[in-house]
Amino acid sequence: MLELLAEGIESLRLPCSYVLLAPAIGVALFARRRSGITIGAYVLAAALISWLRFAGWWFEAPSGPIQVLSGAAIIVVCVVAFRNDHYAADVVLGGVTGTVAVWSWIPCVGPELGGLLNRVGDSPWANAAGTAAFIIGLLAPFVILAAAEAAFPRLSDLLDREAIRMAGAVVVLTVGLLLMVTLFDDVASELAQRSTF
Amino acid sequence: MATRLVGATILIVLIGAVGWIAVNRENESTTSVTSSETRDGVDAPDEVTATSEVPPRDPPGNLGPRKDLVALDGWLNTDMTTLDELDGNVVMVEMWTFGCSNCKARIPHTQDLYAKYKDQGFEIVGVHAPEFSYEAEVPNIVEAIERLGVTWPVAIDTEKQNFRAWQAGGRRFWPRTYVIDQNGDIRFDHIGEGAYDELDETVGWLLANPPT
Repeated sequence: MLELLAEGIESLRLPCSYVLLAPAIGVALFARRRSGITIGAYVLAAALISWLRFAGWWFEAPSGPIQVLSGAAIIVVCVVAFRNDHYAADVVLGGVTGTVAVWSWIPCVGPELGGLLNRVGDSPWANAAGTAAFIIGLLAPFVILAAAEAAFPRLSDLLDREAIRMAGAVVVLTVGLLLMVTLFDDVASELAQRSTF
Repeated sequence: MATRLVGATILIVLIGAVGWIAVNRENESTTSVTSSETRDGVDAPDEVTATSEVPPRDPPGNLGPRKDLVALDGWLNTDMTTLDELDGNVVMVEMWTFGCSNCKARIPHTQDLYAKYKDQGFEIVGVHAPEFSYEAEVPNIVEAIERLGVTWPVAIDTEKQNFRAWQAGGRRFWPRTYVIDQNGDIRFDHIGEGAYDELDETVGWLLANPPT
């Protein structure tokens, strides 16, 4: 389990992970003092959809109209969450954004995740915890941020600013918009190229 | 208070895990640097010679017939135009893209495998399926395969039609490795890095025991 967590953390630096990380940055900024529950919803959705995908129980990666609708869904929940400063709206934002992000994501597979993926078809239930460990590792900075905010309320006070929420909304809306106009892959490509090529 | 306690616990566990991982990985990387230095050295170590012997094993399972490679944008490192031209050979087909770190991590092992079995009826086909647009540009692919030391045939699968068709059911990953026997049946299927010994054994077994 720890090996999967470790590989998740190592995967943070891989360009294939940007698709999952960019929306997480927006959600973390947007959540402010509700980061625990909002990031929790993002991580939970990402882990659940990853597990379903790894088991072969989820749909094809979104493309065409489905991708446009995915982007629109992110935009709608972001606008609703921004206008209704409420726990439930933030949780929905975290869940929807996490679902769309992980749906669009094709992981590069290291030895530990590879081991899990080669087993998961035979015993999907037994590998749910391993999938969750990998996703927690991959989203570790956000989980740490959420936990730190819960443990140190002063940090939460520091981050509880409208400008930060606005910045988070801009990132999430940008992700949604790029998905809607099917440019998200191109922007991710540009980021990947700048970081590795 | 309870929230603070939960937050602090998660924080301590995660930071502890990250620290443990960092120390552990540091030790692992020291070991792997040593072994790769040895492998690149002039004198091959005894253990490499030892693993070059294919141990006896059970016949690899038959996972059904391979698919064709269709709608390609061309081939590199070869004059061939279809996978059919390799019928009668043991063929390793690998779904990869040059920007994928885990795909690149497999290359040294693939080079060893190619050198070991190339003259015995073994061939490799790398199906290059790009994730990002810069990986779809042929000059970038050409530059990358030269830089990475990829000497086997590479099929350019820009639209990822083969990447999708071979990995049915939404379980699609880079890298993914298949071994096809002399009759065109899939006898090995592995997602991600690793399983190098098993791959070597499968190829060795199929070369020594061609299906009738």
